[in-house]
Parts: sequence; structure tokens; C-alpha cells
Amino acid sequence: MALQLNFPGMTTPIPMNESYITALTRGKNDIIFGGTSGTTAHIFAASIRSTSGIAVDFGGDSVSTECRGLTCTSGDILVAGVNTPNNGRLWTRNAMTAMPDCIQEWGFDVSQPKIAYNFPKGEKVLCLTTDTTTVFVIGLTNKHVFMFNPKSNTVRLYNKQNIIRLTNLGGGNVVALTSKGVVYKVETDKTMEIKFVALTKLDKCFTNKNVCISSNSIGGTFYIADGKGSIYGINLKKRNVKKVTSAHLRPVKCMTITNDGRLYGFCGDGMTNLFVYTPRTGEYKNLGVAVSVLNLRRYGYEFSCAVTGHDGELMFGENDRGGCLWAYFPKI
Amino acid sequence: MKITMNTNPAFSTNFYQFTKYPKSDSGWGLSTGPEGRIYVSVCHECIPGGTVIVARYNETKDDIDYLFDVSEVTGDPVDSGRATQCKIHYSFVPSQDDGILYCATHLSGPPIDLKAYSPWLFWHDKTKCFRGSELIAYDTVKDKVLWHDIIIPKEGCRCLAFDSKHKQLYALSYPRDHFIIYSLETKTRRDLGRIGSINSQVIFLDKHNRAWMTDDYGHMIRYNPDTDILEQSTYVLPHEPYQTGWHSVLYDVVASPDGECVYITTWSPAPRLIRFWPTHGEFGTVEDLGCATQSKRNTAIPFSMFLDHSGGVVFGNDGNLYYGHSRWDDDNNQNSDTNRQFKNATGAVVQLNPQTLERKEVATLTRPDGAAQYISRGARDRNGDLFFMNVGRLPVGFFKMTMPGRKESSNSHLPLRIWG
Repeated sequence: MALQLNFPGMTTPIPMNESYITALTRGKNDIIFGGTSGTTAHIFAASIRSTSGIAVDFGGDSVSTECRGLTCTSGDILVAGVNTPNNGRLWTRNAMTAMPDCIQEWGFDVSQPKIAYNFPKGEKVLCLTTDTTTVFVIGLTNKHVFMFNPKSNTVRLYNKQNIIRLTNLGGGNVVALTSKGVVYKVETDKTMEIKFVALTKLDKCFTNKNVCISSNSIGGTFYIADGKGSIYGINLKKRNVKKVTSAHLRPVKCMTITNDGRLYGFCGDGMTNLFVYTPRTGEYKNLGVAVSVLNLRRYGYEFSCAVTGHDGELMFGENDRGGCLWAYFPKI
Repeated sequence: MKITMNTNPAFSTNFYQFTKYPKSDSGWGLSTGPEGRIYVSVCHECIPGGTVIVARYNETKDDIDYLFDVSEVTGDPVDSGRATQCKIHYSFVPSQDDGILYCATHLSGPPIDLKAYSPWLFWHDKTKCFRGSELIAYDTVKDKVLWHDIIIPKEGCRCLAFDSKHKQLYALSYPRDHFIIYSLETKTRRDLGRIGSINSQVIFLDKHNRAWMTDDYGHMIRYNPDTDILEQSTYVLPHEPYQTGWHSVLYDVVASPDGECVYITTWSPAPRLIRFWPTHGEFGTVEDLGCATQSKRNTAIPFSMFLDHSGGVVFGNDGNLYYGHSRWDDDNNQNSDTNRQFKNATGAVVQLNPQTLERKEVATLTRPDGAAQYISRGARDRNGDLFFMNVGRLPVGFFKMTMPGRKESSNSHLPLRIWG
């Protein structure tokens, strides 16, 4: 089901040239936050819970054109990592923690994000997420690993150490992947010190462009796909790694795990295919091209990000002109 | 083959059937060439290994000349195993300055060993996927293909328009519905991104060379070459009150002789006739001229889009607008043996006076085997006669409607329509 980035029947969507969805995260009460790219970057909140079924545009600044990540801290601050043509930026605003009744008498805080931090010219944000404490934000630029304190709007920089991706899998588990295939568990504390604890090493070298990490872990297991579409399952507790399957197309664009452990993702260029891997049986299945006939009648061809909702529903960000937030309800 | 069907001396009609290609199952494209002759596409979109033939009406012989087989001139043979160069949709555009007729192919014809082709299923299949839409430059003076190039890899071209000022072509891709700009000077393409899921069936240009089309929900989309961006209207094109505007996409568009406005039919059940002024106001001005087919109907019934149809908008040299439309007897009897030709339907040419907006049917369009209710495109030749492409039972064909008071001349086709 494709959801346009608006209040259906009430508001206009985020303009088509500005609605390539490139980042998603899940906040309190199953509110999904997203970031877009295009001629102007936006951040938005969306929900399909209760009486909602809407998206609310929070806008952006007039310069940023790309959102590379966003996350909600435990202090209910929404932090987005965006890029202008010249440099990276961090935006903050209050995270929406509940949706109003969207059948009658609604009202929203639609304040725009504030520019909380500017990286120097030439330094671009690649990704970010909340840290182990969930108080701070940890992220990656093309030059550094950084930590951001959203209360003081301060950033501390660290050596990049060949890290190409950082992801918060939930449950306090933040992992980092290096271009040498080393997977770290990233531990932080209240003093913003970072400790990288090696979990395992993949027998692969990666480039930032092609690697994909699942947005979450279930039962301690998460997944990494390399540029050839090989998918590895990694157990955080056992610290072991195993190639579990291969996507039928490459590259893998995004992956997320539903509550029973099944892995879903999109793969391929130009016209992506949805796939599912079932760890219990080892079965891999191509589910084909996405199409929505409820709410919006639309094909879905390009996806770049995904999160799993509270009840195991999957939310995918369509990285396309006129991009929508897609909800997929896995087969029971 | 010519078949005389309507001897009304005022607007007599003859049907020209593609009898040389008895399996030709559609003929979407029909256009005036740069020299004023009529070009048509003889398509084979439903048979495995089908190809499209480009043909031309020969006014001297009063018959059809078949010019070239696209699969042969592009080197994309019908037995390649891939989806074939089976049709040319609304993608003929004439270049008056150099006498070239450009055309671009569309997909859907299955590979020779398959019954059907799915562009979604075979997108990643290197052996079956459509090679891409071939743009062909045909010299209408020397009667030869000058060159060809793939304008859209892996996809078909649903419609094409020609911007002579900037020497570029505009196209919409199928199925991904991307807006493509092809430079004739550098022979390179740019993809400006996706529009939606339902192609606008035409791209038209205003007098400032801005290209117009629609998204899925009936918003006008405008490409401005000066800013190089796609803009979207806040309004939605007119539709019936019980509809939402979804699928109110452009179907056929013709410019008024003075170029100030265009007349539009939409591609939706209960298609709309619209007069649109693209240079009035910030995003043009819309005049709703009402339903283009049969307005009295059961609104709970989903009508076949091959029955409930209007297209072929073209101006006669008498200053009136002409277009094809359908009507039918019984809403509940959508009886069709081919899904494209209906037993209880009537196809007719409507004349609309732009000053008074008065409309009247001036000719019914009848084939030897029944009514021709589906007219895809219309055009006017250098003698001022009108032509209408019909999609119906195979072999398909087109109508010529001889205009009253016509005078043989060499320039009655001007001004040229520069979109397909």
C-alpha cells in the first residue's frame, strides 16, 4: 500500500522533485519518520496506526538536497543528517510522539527543523543513528565518525577507521562495518566515548555504495548484503557469520526483518524486486515488483530504506520521483 | 485496401485496411509528415515475434504504400528471443525544416516463443527484455531511413514530441513513466525522472516551447527548457463529479490554428473535452467543454476504455475542430468479440465550432465488419482531407474523410502538429 507524503484529501504531497525517500526511522507509538532527497530535502512523519494514515511534511532548509539518515533520541529529539551541495548538516526538531485524531479536529506541530550543526565544506554526511545510550547520535561522514549531542548541538569527531556504515539494530545494538569486512559492535557512554568491539569479520571487501545492512535484528541476528547480492547472517551473541542466501538481483537496496525473523528486502536496479528469506527453512523467494491498489494506485520501482513496524508490518521508502511510503504486510 | 463506407457527399469516408498484413492488430500512430502526406504504423502487438511496418497513404493510387519494416531497419529481428519492435504508438513527429519524420517504437509484443510479454517480469532478463525504444529518422524526400538510435533502453516510448527550437525530442517511457529528453544534436538522452504509473498519452508544446503532459491524478506537468525542471499544477483536469481525477490523463491534443490554445481529450471513462490556454495565467487556463462521448450513462458501471473513447482531434481548414467519439445503445451490453470492437457501439466524427462550441456528428465511421468506435489519432493532409486511425478487428486500418470544398494544394496540412 503506497502512502503519498500528505494528508490524503487535505494537503498537497511533498513536491515530486523533492520526494525521493532516502531515510526512514521508527519513533514512539510507531510513528515513522522519513527523510527525502531531490531539489530540496524534507523530513516528515507518517503513521498508518489508529485514525492516522497520513504523512506530515516538516520541510527543510532551502539549501539541503539530500537526507542520508535520521533518528529519534530517547529525549524525543529528531535528528536528520542532510547534505547541501557543499557540506553536511545536522537538523533537529521535536520528534512527534503521538498522532492526533485524523478524522476530526486534528492539529499538528509542523515546525521546520533547525540547523543544529554544519560540517566544514567538503564534509558530507553518509549515515547516522542513535548511539547505545540513545541519548546521543552517532554518524559517519566521508571523513570522520562523529557523535552529536542534540541538547548542546555539539559534535565530537573521531577517526573513521575504514568504517563505511553504521546502523542501530535496536536494543542498544549499534554495529559498524568497515571496508575490510570487519563488523564492530559500537559501544558508547554518557561521556561520548566510543569503543569499537570486533564482532566478526566477513571474508569480503566492501564499498560504501553496494553494502546493505538490515535495519534491525531479531533474536540477535541481523544481515549484511554485499555488492554481489550475497547475504550474510550475523549473530550478535554468538559472534558468528554465515552466508545464508543470495539475492536474485544485485545490488540489495534495503532490508528489514519482520517479527518472526523473516528477512525482506528490495534488490536490483531500475525495477527493484521484493524478496523474502525465511531463516527457519532457508527458503528464498522473489516476490516481484511492488504495486499498490489500496490508497494509491501505483507501481513501486525504486526503494532505498526500510523499517519494521510494531506488529511486523514493513515500511519501505520509495526512492523515486513522487516517492511514497509503502506498507507491506507479510504473509501470515 | 480501400473500402468506401460512407457516401455522404459532404463528409464522405473511406476505410483503408492493412490487408497486406492480415494479422495487424493495432495502428496507434497516424501523423502528417513534414511534406503533408499521411504516415501510419501497422502494428503487431499481440502476436509472438510481431513487427511494426511504417506505411503512407498514396493519394495518387488512393491506396497504402508500405515503406519499411522496423525490425529490419533497426537490426532487431523478430526471432531475437526478446520482446520485439512491434509498434509505434503516439510517436510520429515531423520536422518541417529538413523533411525528416521521426518515430519511436513502443513495446508489448511478446518474444517469438512466448504468448505474452510482461515488462515487469522480464526487466532483468537479458535474453527476453525489450532492447529499447528505437528512434528512427526517416527522410521523406529521399524515402530512406537515415539513422536510428535507442532513445529509451529496456522501455517503450508511449508518446513523442519535437522541440525544433532546442533540437530535442521529448518522450514518456513505458512502463516506468519517465520523462526523457533526447538531443538530436548530440544524440544523447537525459532522464528527468518519473511522472507516475499511467502514461500521459501525448506531450504537447506551447508557443514558448514548454512541454506539457499529465500525472496519474490529472495534474498538468510542465517541462520548461529554460529552467530544466518539471513543474506540477495544483489543479486537476476536469472529470465527472463522481470521479476523483485519477486517470484524467491527456489522451489527444491538437493546437488551434493560431497556436493560442489546444483542444484536449482525456484518457478516462467519460473522457473530457477540454480547451486549454497554456500561456494564460501562471499554469494555463482550463475550459471544461464537457463529456466527449456519451454523457447519459449508468455511473455505477465501469465502461471498457475501448468502448468509451474519444480521440483523433484535428482541425479542418474550415476552422472547425473534428474528433472521433463513441456512443452506444445499452450500458449493460458491452458486447465485444475482440475487446476493441463493440457490437452495439457507434463511432462518429464530431465537428465542433470553436466560436459557438456547437457540436454535431458529421460522419459515422463504419468498417465492413462493424462500427469503428475507437479512433486513436487524426491528421490533416496537404489537400486538407482528414484521416483517422481506427483500432478494432484485425486487420486494422484508417479512415479518410474527404472535406467539403477541398482544394488540392501543397500546404493545406500547415501548421504542422509536432507531437504524436
